[in-house]
Amino acid sequence: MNNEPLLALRNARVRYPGAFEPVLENLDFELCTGQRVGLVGPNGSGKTSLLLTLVGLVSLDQGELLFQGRAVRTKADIAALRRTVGLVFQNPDDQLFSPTVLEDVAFGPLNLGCSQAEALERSLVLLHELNLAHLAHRQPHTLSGGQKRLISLAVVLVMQPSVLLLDEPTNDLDTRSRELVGRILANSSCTMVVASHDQALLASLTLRQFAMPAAS
Amino acid sequence: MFMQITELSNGYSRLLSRVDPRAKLLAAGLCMVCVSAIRGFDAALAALLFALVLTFAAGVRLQNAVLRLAPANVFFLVLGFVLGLSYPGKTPEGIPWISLDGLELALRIAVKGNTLLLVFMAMVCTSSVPALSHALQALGLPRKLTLLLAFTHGQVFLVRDEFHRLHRAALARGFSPRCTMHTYRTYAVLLGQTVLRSLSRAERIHGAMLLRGFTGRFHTLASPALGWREILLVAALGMVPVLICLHDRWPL
Repeated sequence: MNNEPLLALRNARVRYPGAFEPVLENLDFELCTGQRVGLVGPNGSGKTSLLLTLVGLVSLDQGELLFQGRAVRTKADIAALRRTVGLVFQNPDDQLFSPTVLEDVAFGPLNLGCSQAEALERSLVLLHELNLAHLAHRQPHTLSGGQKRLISLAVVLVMQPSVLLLDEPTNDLDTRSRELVGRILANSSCTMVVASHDQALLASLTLRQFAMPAAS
Repeated sequence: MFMQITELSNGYSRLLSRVDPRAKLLAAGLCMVCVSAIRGFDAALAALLFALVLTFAAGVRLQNAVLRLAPANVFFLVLGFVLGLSYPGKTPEGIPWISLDGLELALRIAVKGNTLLLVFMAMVCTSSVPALSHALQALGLPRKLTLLLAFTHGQVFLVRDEFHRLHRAALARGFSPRCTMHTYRTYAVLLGQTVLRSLSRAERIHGAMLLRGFTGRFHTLASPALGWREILLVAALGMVPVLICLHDRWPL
């Protein structure tokens, strides 16, 4: 295992526009290649904000975000970061937007510069691997909560990220779907950060857990 | 409201449902232009008959067709009253305030209107919105416009669900709609909240798009080129209204 942090936050402070208090303050975080860490903490403690900050969707008030040892400052840095780091949102409805599941899965590879044939093949192969091929031509809004969750995982996995950030990946799932998500993640070779209240999932996936302090 | 094959088809006859949406859109466009150009009542009736055959071939449920035609026919009925009483022309004996020409014109408008709606139901509503969006793009419409149609279709349901959730939450807390200021205010709040939540959802979706490499340019999966089968179908389906229209304009 390489000990150089792949992704790091130094002295980070995040405050949303209009908010009085920062949601994250004086935060240092390091993620090395191959690590799988859990994020635990009460609601409102900033788990989601931390994940959004790690992919550059929320900007820092203070401190810096480092990717592969270099500060992420320019658009090119952010683009490089997002090619490597994938985020699975807490709510799948925020992640799925294309007319059909297949197009949603192919959206990322097409943006990465894959040809249409390559993007299609990559998407279909992944959907087969995840036993979701039967949903390929369905419209995302017609799927059940569990199916949406699996598809939202697929749309990130198809981009073949090295780092996977997961925000409550088993939220609202029944036992069977929860086991399926757990199995898919356990088989993945990605470096991982999992924010969850699901202790069983965290225990099965991660070796270390970070506790986010309760919001003041 | 968007209509889809699952809502309109009866499950027995889906001949037109299997046809490429591009071919159906082309044929529907041709049909609509021809039907609009028809002047005679006989030709309009022939076109209506053709539209009924198309509707049957598409497997559109009779109940659905009637329900969707009803509002338009209420309008045609009002038009009949207005034109029948105000249009200049021949009058029947003993009833000088009724115009026969006006009634005939209203009837012709009603027949042509129903024909157009039936053609639309048979040829357009038997494809899903995503398929239509692809077809429109393949037929040369701007990509942003067609994707907007497809994305909007998906999001409309989320917004509707959002509103229903809020509405149910209000009902569960004893809200019962009446003609009172409180009711209007509550509905205004519910609508406002729905819009606000939609806006914040839109921001999150934009974030999700950025994370997947979106840089402002939409790439889509290609649709295969139109085959001979589709071209022949467009020609065959388009031929009938064209012949009706030609016969109407230049009778043999």
